[in-house]
Amino acid sequence: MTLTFRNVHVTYPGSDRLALRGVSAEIAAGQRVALVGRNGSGKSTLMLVANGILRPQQGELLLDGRSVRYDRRSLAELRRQVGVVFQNPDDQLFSASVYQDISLGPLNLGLSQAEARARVLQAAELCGLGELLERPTHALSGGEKVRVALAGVLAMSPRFLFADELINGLDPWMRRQVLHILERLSASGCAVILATHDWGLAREWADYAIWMDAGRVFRQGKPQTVLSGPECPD
Amino acid sequence: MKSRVVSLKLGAALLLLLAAQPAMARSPEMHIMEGFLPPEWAILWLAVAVPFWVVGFLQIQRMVREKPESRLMLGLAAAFAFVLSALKLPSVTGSCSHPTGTGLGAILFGPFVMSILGTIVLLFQALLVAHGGLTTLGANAVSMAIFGPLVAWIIWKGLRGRLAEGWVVFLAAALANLATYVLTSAQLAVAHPDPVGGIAASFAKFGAIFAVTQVPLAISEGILTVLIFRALRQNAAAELQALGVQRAQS
Amino acid sequence: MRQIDSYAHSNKLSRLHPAYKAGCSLLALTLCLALDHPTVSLLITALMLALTVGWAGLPWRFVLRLLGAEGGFLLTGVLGIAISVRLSFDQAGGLGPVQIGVTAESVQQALHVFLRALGGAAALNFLALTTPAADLLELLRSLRAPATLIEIMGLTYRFIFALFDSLERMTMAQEVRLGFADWRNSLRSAALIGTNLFVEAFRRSRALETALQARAWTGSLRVLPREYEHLFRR
Ligand SMILES: Nc1ncnc2c1ncn2[C@@H]1O[C@H](COP(=O)(O)OP(=O)(O)OP(=O)(O)O)[C@@H](O)[C@H]1O
Ligand SMILES: [Mg+2]
Repeated sequence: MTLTFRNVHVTYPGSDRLALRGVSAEIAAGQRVALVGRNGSGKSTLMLVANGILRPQQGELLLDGRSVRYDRRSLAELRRQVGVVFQNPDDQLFSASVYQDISLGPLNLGLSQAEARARVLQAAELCGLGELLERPTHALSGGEKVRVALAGVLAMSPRFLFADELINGLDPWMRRQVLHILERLSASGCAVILATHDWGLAREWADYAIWMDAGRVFRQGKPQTVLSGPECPD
Repeated sequence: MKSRVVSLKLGAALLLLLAAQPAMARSPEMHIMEGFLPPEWAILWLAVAVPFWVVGFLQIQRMVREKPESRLMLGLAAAFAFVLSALKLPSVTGSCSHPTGTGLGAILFGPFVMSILGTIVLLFQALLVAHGGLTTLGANAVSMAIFGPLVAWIIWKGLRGRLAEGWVVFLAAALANLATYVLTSAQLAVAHPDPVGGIAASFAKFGAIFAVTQVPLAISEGILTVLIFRALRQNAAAELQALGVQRAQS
Repeated sequence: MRQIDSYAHSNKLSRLHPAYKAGCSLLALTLCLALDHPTVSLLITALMLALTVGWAGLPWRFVLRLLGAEGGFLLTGVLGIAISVRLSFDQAGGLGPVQIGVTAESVQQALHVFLRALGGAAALNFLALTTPAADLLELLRSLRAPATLIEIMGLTYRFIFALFDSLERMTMAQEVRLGFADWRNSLRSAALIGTNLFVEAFRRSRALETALQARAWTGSLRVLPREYEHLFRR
């Protein structure tokens, strides 16, 4: 399984500035990718393209080598395979309780209630939310909301998980636990793409690094080589 | 002639008496409390509200069919109205109240959609902050979610382009606030007529504090709405446009 | 507000099927209004208090304080009923032609309404304090209320808390800067907060839209139903 960005140019609707200007990259199953770069360099935008929310004006997105067409069917298929956890967890929780919120994705995929229920319990277990299932989403701490948002995406069993600064605001214990979850995911064959400003983490956790700058890929490849040299911030 | 003199004196006398109890049967946001209305009135006001709800619902249904994600917008608008009503609104007299937000809502969404959103807000106010009630939901909806917005909307539609926009917004919001207040007073008066003086006396009674507390509050809400609206024109023009609030042609 | 909501989620009856609780509460309300008798009203007040404290296990201090506050409101309200006004032109009293006073009849009517409304408040409090709002929406759904409305109400409930957080943050920021020092400042601060809140609400609705699409949204906000406890079923 691969997800390929080929020379992707994209602007936000209502804006005429290119947010991505020719991004090419390929992500393979089970890979652990660190996505780094300055504020505004285009990391979050890349995730929106990966999920089919932004459509490239030029260039294309390929899933398993087949170009994504932006009709309803192929978008649904793309979103089944590619999950995104956004930067602000408050912007992705819709339902009154944790249990219900996690169930939204699986039901959108058309799973039966029994299947959806199993998925919810499994994802909640994985994210350490067993105790919190009945809690209302508005009465959670920031870190708990992050894990609910993650579980909501994991319950859809994506093959590619894009996570936007997922571990910001987590305490060191939770951070370790979430990294552990990501570890298990990539071991099970799911590619994990983590946008982060933590270069230390990027170097030791990732097996591939993409360094974005001003809407382009500045460098990509092995973290040891990509994330070193005089241009590095640290 | 004579009757006017009497009513003036009546007003003055009652002001003295009622100055000490500014809230009457209303919680700070003008709700009629649970159980305060006899069943026949509760049902009557519910019946008055129903046609507005039906039209509002059909409009919402159409919005959602054309654009499923407008649900989010509508939910957020209702939540915004709820939270706005928790904002501290200072009055010139020094007392403090809360904006009804009905004027702004009506300008943004029109009176029918607002009748639904306003009723949702009332329902959550009854459940989450114990203001208002279930049996009085109809009566409260008629005054706060229907009559107030209707007044605001008529003013907005009627005066736009003829008067500076700021004044139109001010009048719409302030008069919507007053209209809500007057109707609430009337609802209380007809449900609880004065045993001696009848409905008229009791309307005077329930409406007596009108001049002291409510007019300044209505002015405050008017000014607040103008300030918000002006800021939205400057900072959120795109959002307003998306909601369909265009600038008046001049 | 948060307090009522958090009791609704954490009392002994919070998992009970909402139909029981709504039934209880509505029955009490109906009796209070239909029978319209002071003794009945008192009995219902006592009964609903007993259910709230005894059955649902809420702390009696809180329950009484809430009802007391409502009673205070009601008292000022019924004062308007108790005080009777008469216009008489043939005798000049202390206030000219206006006579203000209390009659036995008006006091009795006031007491009557007061007790009835107190019973109503106690019944409504029972429902509000024992039943999560989402369960009531679920109940409405099972009573065939239109799905669109239920979904909008569910979203409203979710967003109320999110926006409230923002409101509190903004109010605090204004207070720190003496934004509420006098009338002019207060009004300006209120307008500023109102505006920011609106912009925030709008931004959030956009972000949520994106997040919904990312979770393969198909047009309705279906989630798994909660599993309730029942009274008589084993
Ligand atoms: N909704 C939007 N509309 C228009 N332009 C946008 C929008 N969101 C982002 N941009 C622009 O697109 C560019 C890339 O932004 P993006 O959010 O992808 O950066 P990022 O790498 O995620 O930054 P950060 O580290 O701050 O999260 C920026 O120049 C930004 O200003
Ligand atoms: Mg970003």
